[in-house]
Amino acid sequence: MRKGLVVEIKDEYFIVMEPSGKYKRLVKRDGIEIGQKIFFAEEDIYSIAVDTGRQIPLWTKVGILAAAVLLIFVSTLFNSRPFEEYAVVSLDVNPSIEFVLDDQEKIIKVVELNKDASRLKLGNLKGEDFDNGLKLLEQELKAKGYLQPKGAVLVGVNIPEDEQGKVHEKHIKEIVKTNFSDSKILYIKGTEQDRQMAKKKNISLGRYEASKQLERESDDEWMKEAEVEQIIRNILSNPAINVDEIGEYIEEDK
Amino acid sequence: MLQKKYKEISQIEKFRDINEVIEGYMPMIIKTISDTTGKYVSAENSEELSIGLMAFIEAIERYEEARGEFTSFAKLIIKSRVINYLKKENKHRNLVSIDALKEQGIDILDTYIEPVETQDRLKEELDRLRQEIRLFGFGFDELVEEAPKHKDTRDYAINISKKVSKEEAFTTFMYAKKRLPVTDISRKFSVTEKILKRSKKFIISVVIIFYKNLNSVKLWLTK
Repeated sequence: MRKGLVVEIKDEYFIVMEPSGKYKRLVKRDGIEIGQKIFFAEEDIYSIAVDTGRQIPLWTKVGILAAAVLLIFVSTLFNSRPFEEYAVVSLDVNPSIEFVLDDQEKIIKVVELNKDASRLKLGNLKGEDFDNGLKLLEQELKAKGYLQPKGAVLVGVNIPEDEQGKVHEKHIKEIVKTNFSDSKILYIKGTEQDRQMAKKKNISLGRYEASKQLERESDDEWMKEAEVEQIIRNILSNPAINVDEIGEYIEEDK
Repeated sequence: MLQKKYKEISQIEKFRDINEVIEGYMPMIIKTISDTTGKYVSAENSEELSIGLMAFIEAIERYEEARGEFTSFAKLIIKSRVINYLKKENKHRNLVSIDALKEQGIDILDTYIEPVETQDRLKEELDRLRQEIRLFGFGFDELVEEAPKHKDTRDYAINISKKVSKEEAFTTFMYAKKRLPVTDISRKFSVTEKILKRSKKFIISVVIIFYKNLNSVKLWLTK
């Protein structure tokens, strides 16, 4: 939840200053006064139409409207998760971290799953969008010496399986690829049930999912302690596992 | 007791402290209050939030699986309690004590609620800030677009602005020419001109906040 100080009220919207120095336009509601401090959410942000001076043809407008209506319909139909929690992305380098994202791909929670993760400075990632958050994480991992060029990264993702989920998943994968472009990434998808199991065992979704594929999910010690490089090697060398079925292995110039 | 009850309703959350659980649901609690009142929830007035929180705890205590999904159930209770509060508000104010919540081990409000300052003072300072930045040819609208998007860059810009506000030569130049002495600042504080130029409006606004001693705004900004 974000906080804003009301600095100016316009006809169509009002402007707040966040404690971090960011300014945002918000949708107007009753009782707003300059100098007030309020809570606001992403959905309260007012988006201003930018006049590009170009005429949009009528059929394009109709198309956009139809797509928007369809998107709203589909998202209300399928998105029944509690509060804002939409997707989970876990990352294991050796620090083991889990991000909980909302449906705007904003990080709403960061979970440190092992000691190495708690040595990282992760407090500033909450509230960032996933792309930015991952960029900052990558810098921090490099700064603390956890991530070497060509290092191994295990990524676990749990996201709704509907149309909207697929769009987000594609985007999330792109973001991971871009921000860890000089790493070897094993990207694995997990179900909601897997995520709950991982949570129960207090390990990342990626580690749980990999262990399940290797049929080692009852070996708690291995699941927690095995090196990421080794986990990926075991998955890739196991003839019973088709990587493209469980996710994707990404390595530049392989 | 509360913790125990919560364990029953959600196996998923069972390892977590009750305050953490509430924190996870805070956006939902605030949104429900806001949807019910039709207004934004104040970050200073703890009353609405206390009502919402009490209602959320009541929902935990009263929840049974047969009632359906927990979140929908909690929303209903919060909505109903807030409506009751709004009705009563006009007749006699029924204050909810934060201490009563604390007795139940709920101390999360401290991190959410801002210390109450006089809104008049803040308004006065913000009006002043608006007038001052207008002298430089921009308004808050431009700051929405121009304030650095990245937190580190913003912190860096705020830090430079603080230093600039203390240098008489820079502030005199700034007010005389209505622009930042970019080259001089760059030399004095070893900052690249590119950074200064890219965030010049933002830096000017923060220099004004510090230079004109807009203390309440300063306090908000430097949290």
